[in-house]
Amino acid sequence: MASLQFNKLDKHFGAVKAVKDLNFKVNDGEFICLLGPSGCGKSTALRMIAGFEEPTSGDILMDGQSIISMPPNKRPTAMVFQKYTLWPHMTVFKNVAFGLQLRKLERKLVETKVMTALELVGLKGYDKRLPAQLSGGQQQRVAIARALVLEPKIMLLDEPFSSLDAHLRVRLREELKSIQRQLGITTIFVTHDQEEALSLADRIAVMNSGWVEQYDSPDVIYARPSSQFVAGFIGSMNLFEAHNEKGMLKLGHFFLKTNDGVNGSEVKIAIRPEDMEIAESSGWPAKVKQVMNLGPFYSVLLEIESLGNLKAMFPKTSQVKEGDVFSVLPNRYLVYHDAGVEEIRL
Amino acid sequence: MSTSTLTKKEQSRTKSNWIAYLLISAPFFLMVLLIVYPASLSIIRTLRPEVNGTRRFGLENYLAFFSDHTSVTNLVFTLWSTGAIIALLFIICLPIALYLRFTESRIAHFVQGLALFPLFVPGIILAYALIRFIGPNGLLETFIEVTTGWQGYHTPYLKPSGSIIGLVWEGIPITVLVLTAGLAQVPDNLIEAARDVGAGRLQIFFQIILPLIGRSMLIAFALNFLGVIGAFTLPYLLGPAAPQMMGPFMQRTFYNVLNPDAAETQAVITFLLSSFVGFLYVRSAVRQQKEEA
Repeated sequence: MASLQFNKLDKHFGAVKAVKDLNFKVNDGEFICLLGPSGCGKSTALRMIAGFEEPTSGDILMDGQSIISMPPNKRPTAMVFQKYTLWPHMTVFKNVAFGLQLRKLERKLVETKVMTALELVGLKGYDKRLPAQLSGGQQQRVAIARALVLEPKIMLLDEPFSSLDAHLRVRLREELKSIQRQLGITTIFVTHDQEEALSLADRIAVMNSGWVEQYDSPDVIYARPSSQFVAGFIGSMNLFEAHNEKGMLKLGHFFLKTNDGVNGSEVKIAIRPEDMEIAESSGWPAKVKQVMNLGPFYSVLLEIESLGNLKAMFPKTSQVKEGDVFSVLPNRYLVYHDAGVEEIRL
Repeated sequence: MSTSTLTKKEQSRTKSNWIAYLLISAPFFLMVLLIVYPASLSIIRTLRPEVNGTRRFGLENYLAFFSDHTSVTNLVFTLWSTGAIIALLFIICLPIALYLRFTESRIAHFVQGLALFPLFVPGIILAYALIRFIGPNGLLETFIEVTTGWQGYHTPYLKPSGSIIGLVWEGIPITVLVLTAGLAQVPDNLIEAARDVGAGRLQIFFQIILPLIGRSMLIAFALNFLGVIGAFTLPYLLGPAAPQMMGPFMQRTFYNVLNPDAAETQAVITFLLSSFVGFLYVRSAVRQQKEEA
């Protein structure tokens, strides 16, 4: 296991700046997710750690030692790729054993390690099969076993479950987290799926256009996104333009309280759907446009005069239905202003 | 599903089947008429040699071929030349195909153009160009003499190496095309996965790339084998008078020796050798279709 440090890492492809000034640390044994939309540079960053891309500038340190001059086959990392990358002409056993055989380990030892790895990923007894005889989920498990069997210091996963169906994705996600906790291996996981990142990671680096917008724990990222991009990207968020005047924030016809930390006159207010509450008559009058039953709660689309549509989450006990009219108010909101973000609770 | 729907589907399927049969009937009958029928006649004729003025079934033609030193030498020479040509083609074309697969540059495009150029040069023109280039007092000999003063050049013209050089030159485009197509089907991430677990270039080449392009190599082998074993123009113009490859040998037996029975036997033996390789090629193609299905 090892720690990893990105030092002002840049990667340019011609005029395109794929990764800009990547500058954060991954602690020993930590599970990190690089999260962002397509083309944000997260896979490029991962490929630089694996050695498949050379940084334009900056450095990557593993346990304090630079690894950027090492070729991929010499780095103490192992990668699980996005699409099934099992060698089709090799059996499951040979696929997992290949790396060990390259290291010229004894046959018995190779066999033991391969069998242990296959058992760990729940594929005991599948060793003689060819990749074509496995399902997508089983193939990705073999790929994980192939990475784990080498006992890498850092495991890299590039959207490994993106081609699987939703149910299988959730199951493999849980299994991966359990294996990671069991082995304590430092893991960097690339995904564009915020739910995947929130459920797996100890810390998430949210990337946008090559930058890391925010690097923090899932709880902090969800509760207090540092930028409007993160606020819009993680979870569902209602965003409204507001005017800051005379100690109050004016949005549409309504007013919300502000605090001394809010600078500038034009601000943006972000409200999580679950922070909306049904209020007494003093709230914002709202009409229910749509109700979606999400199991333990309702996801409700409200129409509010002068604000437009607003998403809210209400418990099942609220008994809301389409066409209902009542008042709502946020119990908590974020204000994005010139100097940063402020959290305000009512 | 109702019975009438099923009947409609069956009718539609029967109609499609008939259209398919109709479409393949023209090439099928042409193949029967121009290949299967004359080839069968030839094979039967070689099995009915003329003994004492009458034809009867027997293996005399084949016994005569395999007991004749010249015939056997020519057959062995043909097989040896074919093996050498195919080996040289793989030695030359595999690095070119690998370079084209893994390099993105203007030079790569130029190399590709150069490798495919022989495809557009007719064999007869190539033969005379090579005679002028590698023949006695040709460009190569003159160049060596002028630049180094060395006069020991031995021309490969009218020697086994003459026809080998010509046939290798002719076989380069198709071999490069087939191998490049095969390599294009090897995804980058399979190679990256191998590098990731610690494989070096040679290990990747021998343990990942070669097994994955095995089918393309078989296709390149079969196409070259079929082309070379029956080649006539280049071995006739560039190769030696003895031993001869089967193409010129058949022609000599038929026109100069005036022995059509012997020429036909040589043709059938060449055809059987080609058929075996053809069978391997067809089997591989069918397997691939089954796997893809």
